[in-house]
Amino acid sequence: MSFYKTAALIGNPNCGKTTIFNALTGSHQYVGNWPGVTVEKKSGFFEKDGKTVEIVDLPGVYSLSVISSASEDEKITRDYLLFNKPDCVINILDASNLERNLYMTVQLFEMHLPVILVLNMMDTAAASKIKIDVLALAHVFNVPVIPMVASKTKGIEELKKQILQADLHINDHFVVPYSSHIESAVSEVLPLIDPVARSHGWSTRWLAVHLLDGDTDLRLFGSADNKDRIEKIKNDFSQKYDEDTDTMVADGRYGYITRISRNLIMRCDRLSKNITESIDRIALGRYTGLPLFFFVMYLMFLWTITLGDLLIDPISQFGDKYLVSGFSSLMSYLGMPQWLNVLLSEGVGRGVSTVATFIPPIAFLFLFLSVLEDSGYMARGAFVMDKLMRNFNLPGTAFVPMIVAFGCTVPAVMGTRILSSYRDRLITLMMTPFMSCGARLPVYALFASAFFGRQGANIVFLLYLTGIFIAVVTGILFKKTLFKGAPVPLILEMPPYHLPIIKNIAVRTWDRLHGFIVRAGALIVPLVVVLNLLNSFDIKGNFIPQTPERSILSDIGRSITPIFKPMGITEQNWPATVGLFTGVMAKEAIIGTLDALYAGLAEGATSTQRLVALFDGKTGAFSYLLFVLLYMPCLSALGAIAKEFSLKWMGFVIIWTTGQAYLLSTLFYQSATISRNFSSSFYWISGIIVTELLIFTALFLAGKGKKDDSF
Amino acid sequence: MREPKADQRSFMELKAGDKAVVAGFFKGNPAYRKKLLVMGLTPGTPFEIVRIAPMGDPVEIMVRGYLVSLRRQEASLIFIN
Repeated sequence: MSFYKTAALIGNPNCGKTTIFNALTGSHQYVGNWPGVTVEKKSGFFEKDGKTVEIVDLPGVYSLSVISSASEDEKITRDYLLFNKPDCVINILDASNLERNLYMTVQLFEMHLPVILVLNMMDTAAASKIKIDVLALAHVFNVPVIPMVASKTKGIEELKKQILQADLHINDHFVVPYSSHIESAVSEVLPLIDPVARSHGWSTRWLAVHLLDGDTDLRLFGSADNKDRIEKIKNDFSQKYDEDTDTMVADGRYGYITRISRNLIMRCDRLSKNITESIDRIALGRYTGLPLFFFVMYLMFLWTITLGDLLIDPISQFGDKYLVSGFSSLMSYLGMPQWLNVLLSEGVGRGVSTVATFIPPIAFLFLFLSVLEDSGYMARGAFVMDKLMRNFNLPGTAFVPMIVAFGCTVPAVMGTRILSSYRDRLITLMMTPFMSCGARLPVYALFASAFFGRQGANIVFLLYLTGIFIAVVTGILFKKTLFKGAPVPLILEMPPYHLPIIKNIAVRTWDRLHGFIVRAGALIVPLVVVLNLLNSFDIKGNFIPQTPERSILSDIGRSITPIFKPMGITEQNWPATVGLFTGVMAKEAIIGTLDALYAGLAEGATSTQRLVALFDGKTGAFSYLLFVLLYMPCLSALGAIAKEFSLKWMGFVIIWTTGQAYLLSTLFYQSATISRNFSSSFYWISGIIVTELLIFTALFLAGKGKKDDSF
Repeated sequence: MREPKADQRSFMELKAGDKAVVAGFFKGNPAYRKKLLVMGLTPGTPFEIVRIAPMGDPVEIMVRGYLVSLRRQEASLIFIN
């Protein structure tokens, strides 16, 4: 598509940028990634007067100062403005928080870019008794200013008209006056970088100030020599004035903002008497803050998992009826060969049906999370939980996906999106599979009633606690090794509370759902096809739905059962191994498989009696449950991990979870049965301890090369 | 990055309701200092401690008319008047 113009949207977090993007582009949106990074890129277009304008939504950032090598959002924004050169830069300002929002505005004008200013949240400002002189603001920067209430789409048409205007005015006389010390440093830097600034068409003075402000990207210096010289100018400055150049640059910009603000902003009332303050008195209160947060988490769980579950049954019944059996009858009616029929119905049909069952929990979760984020409560949750989650180097919000994981790992993996740092998302990812998901519970329940009788509830509770414990150990271990790095200091804006905007919530939920169906589905469906075919055919290629003990999967299970002997599964108990395979499709499938396979072996006994007979009593049963608790998450969760992270991390999760499951179940079984065969158990136990120590050492060594530059 | 004078204190000592003015920064994480500057905590800026989190940390401050939370330990980089 060819565009008449490209306009970039830029603004601080919480300025209402997403609302404006949605209002401008409507349903003409694309979601992708910025090249080379995992930061999401949104773009779209609108049409007006027969012209098509592209809108690129830049990440929400507080400034264009690149704070460190890890500040990806700032780098993306800076690079886009410097190298892609949009025809128009729409800077959105939160009118209720103008002073701080102007910091980036000042930088944009120093860059001499074609800027349109949008003064959003005029209603919030008015409610907080803040008056802004719009004409004076336009006068200061000598550009158009559009007052807006984006939540009510007030001002959007006016903005479109401004963007379409043929020639946007560039205010190339704009200068921020800095202190004489900075000015003299600027005049030293100017001749060095003049050539590189000219060749790219950047403002030379802005570049000089920006480099004194601390950006270290080599492309901006022109040469490594220049970089060294400018570093020296900065160091000399610190020596001479006992103050760093970046502090003085920020001081100069804010000093300028404070001066112009006197004529722009009129506060008629003290800010502390508004609604936000009244809500925060409870939401952040010493005695009410934590209980309220846990209550919100409880509501989220109820809403996402319990309500989602109500819809899963009809969806999976619908899937079975039409996509699997209905589809199969249709194909036999059409005279398709049986192998094709099974491939399409039992394989593809069931795969699609599996993906469909995850639509309700994902949709419900993101509806809820979007409300939490848009309303401003998410920042409050992060505030009250910060101290606890800090033990894992994680922000308080990392608690949210972990709660969801007790329901289902799939939405939990998707929910790690609420964390802004990739490293935080990875640590959370490694912890979530150990939060025992809802589909494992029926497996525990079956064994609890068969083996543990009245102790059953305690055993299930113990499993949940074990899962949490392993998650905590995993989190701390990875924080100290593979994902090592200086803890990210907390600078968390607490935005005023807002009523969430339905359109934003709908768009965000749809984006996530669409991403899961298309990208995770592309992996889940073929894997379900393969596993299902192995489960439905025998080695000669006959379709054998009635005799699962003859399937290829059963053959594989039988042949590898000896591997599980150390954790208490005997060779006669091969159905237990096959159950672990089908459990990879979906954890609750373990029960169906065990039931069918034991029934085939029963010969006059019920399948539960066979189950009890074949496991090594309570010890063997608990060891198996421990494995079920800890081993790899189901295919759908793996698909979600591959979509949200990468195939590499998916592989890592499989190895980590399954490896720990094997080691720990064996450790438990051998310790519990040590009196039976002391020397063999002793070797197993020592072997496992040595293996775990080796793993810890390997992780430690892998983390050793990591620099603490995460912030 | 000067050393504080006798009448200047650390952020650590502040309690809920206290008002103070940023005087400068101790040596420490430069990226953190820079982000504080971007958020408007430049030398000479007044701020108020609004509240402390239920578990004792972080603290919420009001600066330049908006609310932001910082951890005590990290914010001890700031020294105040």
